[in-house]
Amino acid sequence: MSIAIETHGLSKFYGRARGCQNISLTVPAGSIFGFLGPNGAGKSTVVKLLTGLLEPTAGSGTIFGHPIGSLQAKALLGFLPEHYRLPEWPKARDLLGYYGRLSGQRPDRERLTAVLDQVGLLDAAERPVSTFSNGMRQRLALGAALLHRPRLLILDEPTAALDPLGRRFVRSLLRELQAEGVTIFLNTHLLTELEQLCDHLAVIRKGEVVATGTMADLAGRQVEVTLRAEPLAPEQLAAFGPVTALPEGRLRVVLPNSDQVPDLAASIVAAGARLYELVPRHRSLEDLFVDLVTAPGEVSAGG
Amino acid sequence: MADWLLVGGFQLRELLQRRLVWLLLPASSIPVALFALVLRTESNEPGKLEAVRVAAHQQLITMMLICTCLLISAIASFAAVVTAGLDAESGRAQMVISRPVRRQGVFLGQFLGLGAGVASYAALFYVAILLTFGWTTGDWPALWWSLLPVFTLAPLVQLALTLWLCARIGPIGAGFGALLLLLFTWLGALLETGGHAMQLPKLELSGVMISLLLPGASLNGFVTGHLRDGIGQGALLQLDLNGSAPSGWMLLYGLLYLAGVLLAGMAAYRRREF
Repeated sequence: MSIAIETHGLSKFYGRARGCQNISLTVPAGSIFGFLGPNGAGKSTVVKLLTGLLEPTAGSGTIFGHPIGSLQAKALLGFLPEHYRLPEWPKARDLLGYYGRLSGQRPDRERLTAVLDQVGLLDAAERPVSTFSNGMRQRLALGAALLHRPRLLILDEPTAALDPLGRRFVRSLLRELQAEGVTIFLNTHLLTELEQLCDHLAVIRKGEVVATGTMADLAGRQVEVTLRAEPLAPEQLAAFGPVTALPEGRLRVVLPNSDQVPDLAASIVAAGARLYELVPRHRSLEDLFVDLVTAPGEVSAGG
Repeated sequence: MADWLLVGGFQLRELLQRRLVWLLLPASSIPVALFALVLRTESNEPGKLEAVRVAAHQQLITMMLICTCLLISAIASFAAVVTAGLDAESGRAQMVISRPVRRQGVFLGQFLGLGAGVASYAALFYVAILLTFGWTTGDWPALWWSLLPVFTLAPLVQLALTLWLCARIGPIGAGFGALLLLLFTWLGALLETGGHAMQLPKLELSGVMISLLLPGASLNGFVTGHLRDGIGQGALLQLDLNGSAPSGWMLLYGLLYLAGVLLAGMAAYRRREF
């Protein structure tokens, strides 16, 4: 497996305050890697470390084998910052040309037109940025990140300023890019974006990675079972996983995987209880996220 | 194309897009016109001794160039804060720094782009003042053209200092810090002049020491001193109210200071976190 990003114990401290600590990530090339965490968890710090905007206090990392922050690594990545601001006066086409030259390219008119078309701004190519809406600026900034054909795209909240149509447009663009072999590192707290786009995921809480793996492993593996059986005490099911008492005599059990559902049913019957209801449900990313960011502990799903 | 050239060109074009810059030009003609009016009034006063008239001209052009230098230095600091300084805070710099560019080149480009604008403005102002002076009084100070680069050097030093402070402590602190230092060192120049006029060597020396913290005032003193000496065949009054003109060493110090601040700025920008 080819690796796009690899970090080992990456840490950033601002004096005694922690930005992030001991971040070890492996992002497979060609994947859409979701980086998830609540506000203030340290996501943007990690992104800034990867893009060379911050120097790590400890640890190291590589982008396609080049040390993070090096010119070689930067030449391979395109970056859309969360809090970006574009110059107001240039025309969209001229601004893209400037960013392209800064990326070591000399983009010709054809390439500029192609990128403007790709981000849906071809009609506005000759307009100054000052006349653009927030959504158009976001797409232009995305175009600036794409212009030099990066192998890795790091996007920090790329759909934050977009309406639902704009979000759909960006999602479809990202899928196209993935099909072309571009690796996408997506930093967002919008779970719907991640569920629809990502194949790999890492969750960060208070500056530390608390879960990492494939989307299927992390979000799809756990099963939440709601059941009603009498007579049955919650403690009798504790061996299967966390049990929560619900109204009307129901219980909720979180199982590590769906293979344990028949065992759970058998165990209830073996305990002499009558089973009236048993509804298994795969846990959503939101369930996983809430669990991970509100309770200590670590989930490692390999992959 | 080199990073510094790309960034410098973009920065200069951006500066020229600002309406405020174009408003400065007509606004600057007001003090020049007032200067011409005062000179004409002074020159046409009947019965005045030639020596007194020349001394008045010397004082007028000195004051005019001091005010101009202070104003343009303050504008240079302002330009550095609202462009390069705020860019770093607003996230605009992230769009540049995350690309395969050398940070030192970005800093140098910012200085050169803004510096080209500031130096052009200072040169225009200087030429307008000297032409006004020459046409109004009929007296063309010797070598006035050759002093033009020195006159533009003071605002450039101020610009470099502000950019360096922006990279170290952020734009607001940099703006205030650079302006306070500017005023402090001009106060030093005033002490130097006063100490010289009153023949108080300790006061003069302390003024010189303060002026060394930022050589803008001394560079301006170099220009005004040489211009003054070039007017009406040298100072005709025995009492030299303007103090001694800084020597050529001060010019060398100014250049070394500029180079030093630029190197320190590039180093600070390289280490800066965005």
